Amino acid sequence: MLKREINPRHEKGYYVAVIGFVIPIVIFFTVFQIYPLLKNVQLSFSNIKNSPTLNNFKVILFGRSFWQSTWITVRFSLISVSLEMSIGFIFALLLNQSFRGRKAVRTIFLIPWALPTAIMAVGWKFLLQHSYGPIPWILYWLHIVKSPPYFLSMPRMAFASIIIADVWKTVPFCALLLLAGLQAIPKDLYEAMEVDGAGWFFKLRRLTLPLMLPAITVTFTFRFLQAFGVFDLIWVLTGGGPGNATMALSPFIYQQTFNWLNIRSGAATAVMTSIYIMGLVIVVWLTRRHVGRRYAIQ
Amino acid sequence: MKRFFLYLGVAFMIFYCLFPIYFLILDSFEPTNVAYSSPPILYPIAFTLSNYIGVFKDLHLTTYIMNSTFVSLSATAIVLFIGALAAFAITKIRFIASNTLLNFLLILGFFPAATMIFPLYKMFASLRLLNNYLSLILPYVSMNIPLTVWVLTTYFEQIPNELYEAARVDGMSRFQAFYKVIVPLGIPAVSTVAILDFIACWNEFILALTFMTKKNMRTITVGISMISGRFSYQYPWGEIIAGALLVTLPLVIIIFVAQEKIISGLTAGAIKG
Repeated sequence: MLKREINPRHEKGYYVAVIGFVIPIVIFFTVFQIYPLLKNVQLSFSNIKNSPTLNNFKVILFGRSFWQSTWITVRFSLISVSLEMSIGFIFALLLNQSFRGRKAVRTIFLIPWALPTAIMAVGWKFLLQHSYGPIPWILYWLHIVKSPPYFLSMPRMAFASIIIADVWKTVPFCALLLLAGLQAIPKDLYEAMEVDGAGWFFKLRRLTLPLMLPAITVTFTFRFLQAFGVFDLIWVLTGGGPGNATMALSPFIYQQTFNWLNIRSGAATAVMTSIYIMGLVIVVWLTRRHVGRRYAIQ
Repeated sequence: MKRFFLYLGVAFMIFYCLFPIYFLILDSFEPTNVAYSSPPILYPIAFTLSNYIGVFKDLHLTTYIMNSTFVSLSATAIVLFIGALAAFAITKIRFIASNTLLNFLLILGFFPAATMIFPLYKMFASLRLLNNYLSLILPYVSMNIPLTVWVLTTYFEQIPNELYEAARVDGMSRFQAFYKVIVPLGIPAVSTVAILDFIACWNEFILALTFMTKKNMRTITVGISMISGRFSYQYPWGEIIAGALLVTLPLVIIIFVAQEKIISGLTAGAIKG
């Protein structure tokens, strides 16, 4: 039988209905997201007397702090997301095997994800404390380091700390997303390869990885964009310090706006950050055809 | 042999997820002199509940929990309602720009809160809404729209259009069809999204930090992470960590009750949205 599609547009009151159903969300995101983004643009191009100026951008683009923050943000996002994806992929492969208590392990995997980032950062701040926190001492007792390291008071170690905390929290989440991708691969493909005598590495390289590429790319993109806006973790764990060693873009905006009361520089930094995000989104958009934006879940 | 390595890997994964939590639980039950011993003692040797009692007495944890609960529940209820309306319009009324709207929402969701925070702060300040629950509820609603609409759209698509059309033929208005047919059928999806939205609101930090300047209006994330001792070296770690664990407990309970829902919602939301 031919499926007959009713064109809803011919119904009475169609446009009123559409507007009525969609208008609440439109109002919300216009007032609370689009307006602030645009208002920042206006602020960043004006001075205290509200006349137009390029000075705010001149200040941040010719200063060191903004570029330093950009570099820290890019480094943080790239390193932590790459680590999360690789460890997460291994975890997903393990979770895709059948073993007793698999469901329980999946539940445990949700715990780090559900922990509020700010609370988790408080926890890690304790774990990494020099004199009574366990992690520096465990590293020392395992003879990995010569003396318990000062995680939060040395620039390089502080940067490592935020990556460690972020990786810890997000690996299980990535693993669960990748697991959904793994489960979408039909089992008979593996069986067919086994009949042909393929080893596990061959199957991984020639079957799992190519078929997982869309899932990997999508997860990577989403995590990267998320990591790019990191705030809670840094603000609580290191406060952007020591010095400016972990001052990513979001905390930098916050610091300029609310600690230094330099609203217009803050707005200019926010605009630049928005431009970065938009650039990333456009890149993803243009390449979506090549990676396949959607794939089946079940 | 293969099984052995598999279980070794599984053991490592469990260890990976839980070892920080073990140390935190350990510390929260230790009396101060043990907790501050250096080097730390990695196994339980003394037990006290004083941190858990202290966190309620000294740190206003009850207030923070009440604030967080009220804000998160209100925001979740509102975003579910308006998100479901939109998802219904997208899947069942099917208007021209619905795909554009979905993609637009997706992109909007990528902008970090820090890029919008000052104009919002100014807006709420001029409306005298700082230190008012509304200053958190309203932006939280907005923040959760992309996830809500995306996940609900995915699920509502699976409800046959014939049901909606039949309801319409029977003389129901669109809104009646929405709450008498689509919503009851979509309850599993709605509850999944409710959980995800609630967790997102419960965990939010930057807006709560900025808009709630009075101590008694703080939410749990800000309340706990902004605790400091009378002097910087007198950081009351035991109590802070006891508080941190306590406010995570509701989330852990939610996870244990609804893990299947959360995972299905996460994968639908994160992969398609």
